[in-house]
Amino acid sequence: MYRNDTVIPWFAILFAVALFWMSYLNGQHIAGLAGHTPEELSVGQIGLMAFGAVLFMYGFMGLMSNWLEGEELRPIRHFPEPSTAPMVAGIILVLLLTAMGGFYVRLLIYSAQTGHNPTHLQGGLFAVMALVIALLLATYKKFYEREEAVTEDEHSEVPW
Amino acid sequence: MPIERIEVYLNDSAEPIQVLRQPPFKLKLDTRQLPDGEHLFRVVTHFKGGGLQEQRIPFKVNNLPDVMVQGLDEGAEVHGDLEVALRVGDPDIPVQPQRFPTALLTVAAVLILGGIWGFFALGPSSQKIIEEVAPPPGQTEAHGGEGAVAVDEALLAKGKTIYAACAGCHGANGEGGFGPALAGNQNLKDAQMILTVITKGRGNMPAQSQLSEEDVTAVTTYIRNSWGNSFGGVGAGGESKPAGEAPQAADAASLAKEGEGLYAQNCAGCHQPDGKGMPGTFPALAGNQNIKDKTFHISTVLKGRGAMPAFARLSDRELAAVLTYERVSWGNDYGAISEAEVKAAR
Repeated sequence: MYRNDTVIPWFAILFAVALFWMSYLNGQHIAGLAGHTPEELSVGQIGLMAFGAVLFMYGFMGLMSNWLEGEELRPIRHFPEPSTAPMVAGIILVLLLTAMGGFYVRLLIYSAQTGHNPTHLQGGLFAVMALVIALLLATYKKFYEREEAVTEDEHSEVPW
Repeated sequence: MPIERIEVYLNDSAEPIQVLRQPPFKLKLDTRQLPDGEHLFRVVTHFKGGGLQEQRIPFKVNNLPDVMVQGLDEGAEVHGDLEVALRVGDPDIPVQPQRFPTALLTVAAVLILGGIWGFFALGPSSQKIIEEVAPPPGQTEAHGGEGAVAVDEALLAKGKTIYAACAGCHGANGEGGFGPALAGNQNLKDAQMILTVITKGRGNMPAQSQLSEEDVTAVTTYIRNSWGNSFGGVGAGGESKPAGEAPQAADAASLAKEGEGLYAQNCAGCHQPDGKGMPGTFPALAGNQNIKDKTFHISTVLKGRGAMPAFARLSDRELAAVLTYERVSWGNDYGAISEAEVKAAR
């Protein structure tokens, strides 16, 4: 198994989904026992979800690493050729990010003025912005960055 | 077959550049002495006894960097001044053409992105979107849907008095604690369900069988219309009655009598009117050996313990009354607790 294999990341994501499913079932179980829908997450649910989140992140990073660097890291110089699709994707993402940045500022001003903090909206918007930034960085690294891979020890630490 | 000698030739020369007669058969070739381009490496091996073998290896020498000529193509017709750029370097690196002037690019980016950002940050449309998506709680309905509903004030006042018994678990302001929060709880929409939960209990919540139908209606009305809730009345009306008589007797018997009402208000919700509690959740007081110890009993009620909330808000007199009631009821005979003892423990 090579260091940038997709086997471990896929399993990590699979386990993450299973853990989230388990925490959902846990909630259902509690609801069944208590006779009503619990309003707070139980400690067990929080634990399962935290493990799930960590595993999901590891898996996602592994898949990303595989996409960006390939299955095997060979000594090579990589000169991406300019092409249209990544350029268009980049422009759209940048426009989207700018618009969301403006909207986020508006949201903060709104909170300051009214004293009402729509935390769900703020958190969701911020998360989407972070995701767009990540996509932009990945696009740049994959389609624009010139880079040179030097030989690495195959028995190095876990890459992701 | 033993080797007699190995002759190494370069290109088509008749003279070998080196003759090797014994191992190790190694030689050093300085390619910088050769012009860049195609060459031929010939190895002629002579074996003892007359055998002969020849190997030909064509190769290419490339010691000098290539020079790329820009501005003049092969066979091009030219006239006047000619500007030719000569680029020397690694031929593997493609030359990136500069498509746009950097300054123009920067200005355009700032203008376009700034415009978009400004539209969303400063424009009125975003404000509208936010008001649609996340309206402030006061602007529309509170936690109901019917808006402000007229509710019988007397019933509300009565419900508030009764709710004091519920506050131990649900919090004085419905913020929840051991029990779920009631402020903003959408389950309160269903009045019938609330009535059933109060009278019959559910999960950890004990049945409040000591309450009359009127009491249940009053407390339901109260929790449905307090702390920002606005779910409307329940249906039945009722008039307010005093929360409990307050006899001023000093002896243990009258203290206990006084404590009975307080117990119903503050403790019976969990420990049950008959003091038997709920096994596994709320401990029984009837026959409980722990409360024999006065200090333990006083501090538990005064400061709380585990899931049990503190009742420091009660006066010394009230605490003495309810403690005494617990110590002399349901077969308990642990003696009275005086107001002074509570005061000392506070």
